Amino acid sequence: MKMRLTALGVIVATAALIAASVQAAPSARAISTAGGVSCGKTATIGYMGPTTGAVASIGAELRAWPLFYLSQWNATHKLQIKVVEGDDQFDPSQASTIAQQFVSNSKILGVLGPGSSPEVVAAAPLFKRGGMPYIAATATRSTLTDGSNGHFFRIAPPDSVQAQTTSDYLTRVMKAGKVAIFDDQSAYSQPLADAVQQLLQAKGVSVFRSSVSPTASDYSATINTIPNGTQVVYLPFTNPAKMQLFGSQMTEQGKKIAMFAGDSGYSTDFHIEKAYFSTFAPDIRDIPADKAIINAYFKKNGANAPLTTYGPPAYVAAQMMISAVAKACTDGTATRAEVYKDLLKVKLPTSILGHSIQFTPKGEVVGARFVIFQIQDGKPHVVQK
Amino acid sequence: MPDSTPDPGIGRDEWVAREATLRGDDAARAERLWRRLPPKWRFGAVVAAAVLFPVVVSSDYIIRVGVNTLIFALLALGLNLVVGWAGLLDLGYVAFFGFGGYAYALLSSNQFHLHWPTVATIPLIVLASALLGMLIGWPSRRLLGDYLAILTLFFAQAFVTLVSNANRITPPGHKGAVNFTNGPNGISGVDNIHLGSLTVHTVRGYFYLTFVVFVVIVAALYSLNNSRTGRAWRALREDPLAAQLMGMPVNRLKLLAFAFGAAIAGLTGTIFVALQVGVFPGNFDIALLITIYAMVILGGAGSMTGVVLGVVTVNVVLEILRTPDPARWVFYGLVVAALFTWMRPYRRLALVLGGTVAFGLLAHFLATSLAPAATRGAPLGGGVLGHLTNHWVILLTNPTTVGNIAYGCLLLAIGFLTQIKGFWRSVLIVPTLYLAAFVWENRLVTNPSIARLIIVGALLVTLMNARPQGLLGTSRIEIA
Amino acid sequence: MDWSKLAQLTVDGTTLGCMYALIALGYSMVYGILKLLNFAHGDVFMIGAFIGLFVYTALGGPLTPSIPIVLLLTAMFVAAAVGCGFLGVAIERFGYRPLRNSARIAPLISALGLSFLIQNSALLVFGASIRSYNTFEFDNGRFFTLGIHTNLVNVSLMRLIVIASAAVLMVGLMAYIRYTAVGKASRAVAFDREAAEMMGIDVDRVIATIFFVGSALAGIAGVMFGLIFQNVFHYMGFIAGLKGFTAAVVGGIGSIPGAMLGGLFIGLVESYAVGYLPQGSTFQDLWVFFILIAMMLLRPTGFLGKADIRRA
Repeated sequence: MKMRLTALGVIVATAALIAASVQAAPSARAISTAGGVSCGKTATIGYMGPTTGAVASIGAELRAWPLFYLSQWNATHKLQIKVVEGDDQFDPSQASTIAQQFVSNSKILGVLGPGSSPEVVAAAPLFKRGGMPYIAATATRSTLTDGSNGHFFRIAPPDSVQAQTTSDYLTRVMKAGKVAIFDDQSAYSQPLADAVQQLLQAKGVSVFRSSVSPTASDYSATINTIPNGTQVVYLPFTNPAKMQLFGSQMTEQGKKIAMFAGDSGYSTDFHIEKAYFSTFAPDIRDIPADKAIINAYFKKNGANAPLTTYGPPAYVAAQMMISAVAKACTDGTATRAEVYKDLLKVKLPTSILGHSIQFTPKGEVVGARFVIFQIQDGKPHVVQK
Repeated sequence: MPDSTPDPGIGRDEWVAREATLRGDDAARAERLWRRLPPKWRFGAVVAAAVLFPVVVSSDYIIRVGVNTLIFALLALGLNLVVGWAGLLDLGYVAFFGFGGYAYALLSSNQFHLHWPTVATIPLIVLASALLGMLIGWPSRRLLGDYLAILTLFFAQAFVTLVSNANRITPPGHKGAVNFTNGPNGISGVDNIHLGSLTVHTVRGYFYLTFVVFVVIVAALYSLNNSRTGRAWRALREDPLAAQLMGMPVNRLKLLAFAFGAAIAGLTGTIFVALQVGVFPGNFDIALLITIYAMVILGGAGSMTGVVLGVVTVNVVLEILRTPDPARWVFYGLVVAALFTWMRPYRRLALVLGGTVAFGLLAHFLATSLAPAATRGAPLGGGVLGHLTNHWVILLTNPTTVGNIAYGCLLLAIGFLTQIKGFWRSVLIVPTLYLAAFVWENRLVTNPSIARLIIVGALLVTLMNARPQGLLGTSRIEIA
Repeated sequence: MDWSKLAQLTVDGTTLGCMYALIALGYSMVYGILKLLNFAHGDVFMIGAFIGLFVYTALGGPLTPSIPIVLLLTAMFVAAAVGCGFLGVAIERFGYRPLRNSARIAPLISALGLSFLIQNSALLVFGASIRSYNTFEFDNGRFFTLGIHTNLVNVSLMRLIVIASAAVLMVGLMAYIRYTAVGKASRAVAFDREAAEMMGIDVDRVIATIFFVGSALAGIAGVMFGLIFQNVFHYMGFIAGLKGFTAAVVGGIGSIPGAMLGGLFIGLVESYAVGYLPQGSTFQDLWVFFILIAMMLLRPTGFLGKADIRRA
């Protein structure tokens, strides 16, 4: 009797598991839906990003802004957009599995994400095979748009543009003859630092190149390795709090060297006086036309919701994707190929980033450029547009 | 938690009595039933199931989950060899997995423009991994378990750091830096596995390939387990000193265990990288290591069937946890099943479940009447169970802070429950169950990725405390 | 010879070393008594840093502290010590006590699982963003602009405070172990548990006390870490724990002066390696690894450890 009831318990659990897995299995249909997905009333897109994991704080922002746009669209349009979310945990193998999940789900017409370059590379073969158009808001590795990654688009300009702008500013405006470059061994930081190093060395600047360990919390010893006479320290870290620590410790040790950061410098966590950083959008809080959107965002997500460099391009990515999906769905059915074609045609005359958005055939945004800021009195000010 | 050990009665040794109840265990009984089938039938059943699986299932995603499960199974079998059979705590196991993967990527991609045929690369990588395993295992000759664990953990860290930075190493005698591993961006565009003229490039193809490799490895491990080496490993695990006294080459055995485990991991690495068409340092982190450990421990370290069972269970559950509604089913199903297994008599179980439902309804009613604005949350994902829980669990509009406090209280409550027994335990289980459902709905369901990691950690701790031998392992009693 | 660089690196290494020493003490004491590696110790350190952060922000820091700064710092230390002490006792009660007579591997795996659980619970509850103590803003940055600032070396007031407190704590601990009844009892339990039990010592109580003290020290180390190095996040305990363990092993596991020595040694070596070796900063965490391997191979008992004779 005891054994039978225990076995019953086990069977109940197994049945629950099977029921759950059957429910979890997306509709079993072939990948290429020649006839198209019917989307007169609702259409589905996918969102993939590092919602949890090592960069969850960035992931939270990358997720909040597209979902915010989605809620605004759904409130004002007849076509309701649904989103299937995937959390790649900043791990390429998860990105690969989630990409497979999205591709197998024939309802998904397009994907927003992944969040960063290694995940894009991992997901690309699957998206390519499934003909899925996908827009990454902030994956900046230059080689991503070389044509081998399927229908890939991105909003942020590639590292090559940022490296060009940065090295130009360092040599032309700051007149730096001796620069120290540190990267934090991340997928974003290293290629960018490499590119800047190459450009600077080509211009005859003396470059000291090193990197900090991603798990290191103390940069005092590292700061001691900076050669005497260095005029600028270039640190394109992914995490602003770490850059803040680096700068504070430099001050603590009495080293008065100018700091130059990358995109992540645009954050309240980074407030080293007189430090520079470059990012691909002006401060959207300074654009009057964006005030209404910003207020609505904070109203929906609370006053502590994240707003740094990562949110606005994710918002724009959602805008582009949903516009394309809506366009493809005007006749009641849509395919991924249609959405891809419409993505190439969509043009937003203005956007939250302050300029018009249109994709080049390769998947970059036309005319994307970087803006350079300097922190004065604790707040960033634009010093070069 | 299982009830206390049975009273042996007069004239009976406590140890003997414990052994007897162990043999009468449910899981052991299930295993004996399974073993009554002739081996050929058992083998045939498993093979038939695997062969039919890609035919029956049409979703590529589920096949992909199946391939992932097989890859985990291979890794778990290798780890089982090192930890379960030889008793060596190897925390750097994922580094061998990574080594195999990176070696394959270097030999079969555009990184160095080498595209060696797979029949050449795979044996080479297996051999190289075995050698690396011996190298890493070399300190194990003189080190006790804890030190070995830390050393291997450091090795895993060192591997990831090395691989993330090996894109500007200047070898001596070479001018300029060489890009070995492309740093944190990893190597992409890796060749598919091709055997002769046959290229594997679909998910189904990889499923069959991995399954064939799995069968081969299982057969090899089975014969290894029943050989002299296997018996020597078991002796080593139980008491190294006695084994040495009996003349076994203890050091050589340890190295052999490391080598075999590493070889299996290296082989799995090549398949994994070919499947993913790329390799990244982020693939080989500590979370993967802990997950594989959880799978091995759940199944029962030392038992191959148990380990595979553990892999399937954990992997399927983790995959299901990705989407909120199926995750809900799994959560409630598992809680009910756990109560079924541990709570006797069933009258008490029925009372507890009924009490929880009643308590919940009362609490929900009170909360929604007293603070309607704060309790207007909606169950994530909808679905049948979601609608039911909407009327039972208090769902907050701003779940974060209260949810966090509830989570802390839940941990305290569970800890407290393990210390008390009897009537009061059954009474206090009711609010604890409700609290667990509350925390699940308000905090964990919205963060499935953290939830999966918490579950893995909690699984390890609970298993070690309640049932260290896992599902199908043999209970080991260490004579101090 | 760049004396300035050497002096500065020495100061940095000493600060790091003090923190590693405090963590190593916890490892050493627990290992001495239970012969068990407490993997979750690093996460106790992390929780201590967070407790300090919460007390600090609750009392208005860094910009508008509602009580004098000395009191604020003391409150942070005490809160972290007490909170982490209880956490350590809970870890022992739930993670290790049931497994005292199991196979050696069982408590290790339980410790792994506990460590993972605590880390991810912290991730769930505190979020993934890096929080900062922002002590550079404290009192207009006085804690960092005051101190010893010469041409040779820069030592801020905060570092001096931390080094001094660590020294006081270490001396206090040595006195505790040597002169108090509990200290003597713990030495007895470490030497021979059964004999101690036969002499009437309540072994469970002693073990719980040792866990409390060790974890309290780790908690204080966490607060110190936050004060000097600002950034606290859920993962910080992992690497700090590994380095703390290395320090304990290098100094001689089971030996309290050994843990202190080991901690300082590891801190200094790490600083010098980063400062002088090419690409030293890139592989910052690995130098400790090499020291550990060297120690394991050349002198497994560490600097001050005794050879561990395993009696039957």
